[in-house]
Amino acid sequence: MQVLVADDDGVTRSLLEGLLQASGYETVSVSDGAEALSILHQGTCQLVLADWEMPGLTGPELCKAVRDGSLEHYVYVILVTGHVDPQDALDGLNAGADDFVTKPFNPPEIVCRIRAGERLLQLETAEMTIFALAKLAESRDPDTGAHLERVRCYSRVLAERLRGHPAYAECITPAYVRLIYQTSPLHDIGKVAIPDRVLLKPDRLTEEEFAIMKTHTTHGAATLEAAMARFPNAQFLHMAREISLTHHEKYDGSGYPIGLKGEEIPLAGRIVAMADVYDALTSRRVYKDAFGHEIARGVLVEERGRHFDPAVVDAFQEAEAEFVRIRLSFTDERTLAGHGERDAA
Amino acid sequence: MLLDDATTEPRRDPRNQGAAAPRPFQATVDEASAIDAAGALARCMGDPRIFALTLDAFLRDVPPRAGTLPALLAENRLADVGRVAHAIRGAAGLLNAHPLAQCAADMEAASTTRDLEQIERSIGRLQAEVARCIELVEALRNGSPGPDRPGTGGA
Repeated sequence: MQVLVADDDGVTRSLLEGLLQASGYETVSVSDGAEALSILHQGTCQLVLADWEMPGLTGPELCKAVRDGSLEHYVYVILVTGHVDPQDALDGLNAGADDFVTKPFNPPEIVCRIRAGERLLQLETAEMTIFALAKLAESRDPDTGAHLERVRCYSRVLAERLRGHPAYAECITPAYVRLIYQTSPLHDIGKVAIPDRVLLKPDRLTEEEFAIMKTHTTHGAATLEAAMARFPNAQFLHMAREISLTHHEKYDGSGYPIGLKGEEIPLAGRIVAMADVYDALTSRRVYKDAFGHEIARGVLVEERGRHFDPAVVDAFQEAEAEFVRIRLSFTDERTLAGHGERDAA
Repeated sequence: MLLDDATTEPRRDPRNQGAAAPRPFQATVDEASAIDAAGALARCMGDPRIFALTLDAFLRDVPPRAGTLPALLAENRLADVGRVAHAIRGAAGLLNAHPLAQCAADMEAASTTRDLEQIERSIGRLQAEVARCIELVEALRNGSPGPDRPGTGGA
């Protein structure tokens, strides 16, 4: 594992690098907080030992930047500082640090704390498992391409935009943004329960078949509820269930499976609904070509207040450039060959 | 404790061929010393190579920082004085340079209370301590305990 050492003091850097290398870690070291953030954005380091006082960004500022939801992976941050006031420890942890060590530190303790961080990072494999599960469900649908990747990215963009609005500032935290990014790929997990004759049918569905298809929402929710019963504190299961159950609800109450209306629909469901439909519109299906962004935008805006939450449509319009960029970055032949959704648009 | 390592030939680590380890010496704790070399070596997990890297970093970083203090004080940049003192305190603490760390701590505190007299007094003491540390660090890097270190007998 590669550990980033960010400290403007050469003695600390040299000592930490030496200790970590002797303990089997690779190290990268910088003397500037902004440079540290830049390295973290490259995605090669997930564990950081950061000083409090640094040029560029201070340690707490670096923590806040790390926690703003823009990084692909979780980053474990240990603040290593000469600040010894207990309030400093609280401030550092509140800023998003995972751990706090004061100088002069005890080397074996530093190594132990690094190992603890490693253990926590291994929990991120849980996130990978979630995604693998979603991909497994999706694999029954042969032409889905990078649908899940795009939907999770669109959902994150929408959540980030909404976060900038006063009405959502409190409920959409960086953790919420990260959670929706993690759990939105599970929106169609209930499709594992849909028979092939319906799921893979190349023509439009009959009314009876569509009724069966609609049950993927409740099947998905039921599956996740079973997991929630065993792990009631796992927040991602709660959000995943909400999304699975409600991503086909419509703002005007005409959606399914329940017919929830307006803000009765959980926010995560309203966000993923828009992300899912945008992706359906801009992907080729067996019965239609992929629409361009302009046409898709027209459809979505027209559905403002009907299918979609007006605030989410507004967020989409603010973030159009990001949607286009995401779509292009995940476009491949399979995407263009068909999306496989039967009921989103 | 791996102090015995310091009395043997330094281990060669292929990952760090560039860092020459200090030559053998015997170190004991001595509060009067500029640096508690034994404690500093222990902080490096008894590894002479890490110790050498840390000593080099000290020589590279701390004297220039200390050298900025008079000008910062002359310009009444007390917050910067405090930041420099804080950094020196951290570096000195890691190297078990206790007297230097104490001077730096005094200066940091005085910069917070804007006690100019105390800062001026501390600068003189601090620079003297830095000079003592340089002398000992260079001696350690050369494998000798230093000219006036009663507690750090040479090998």
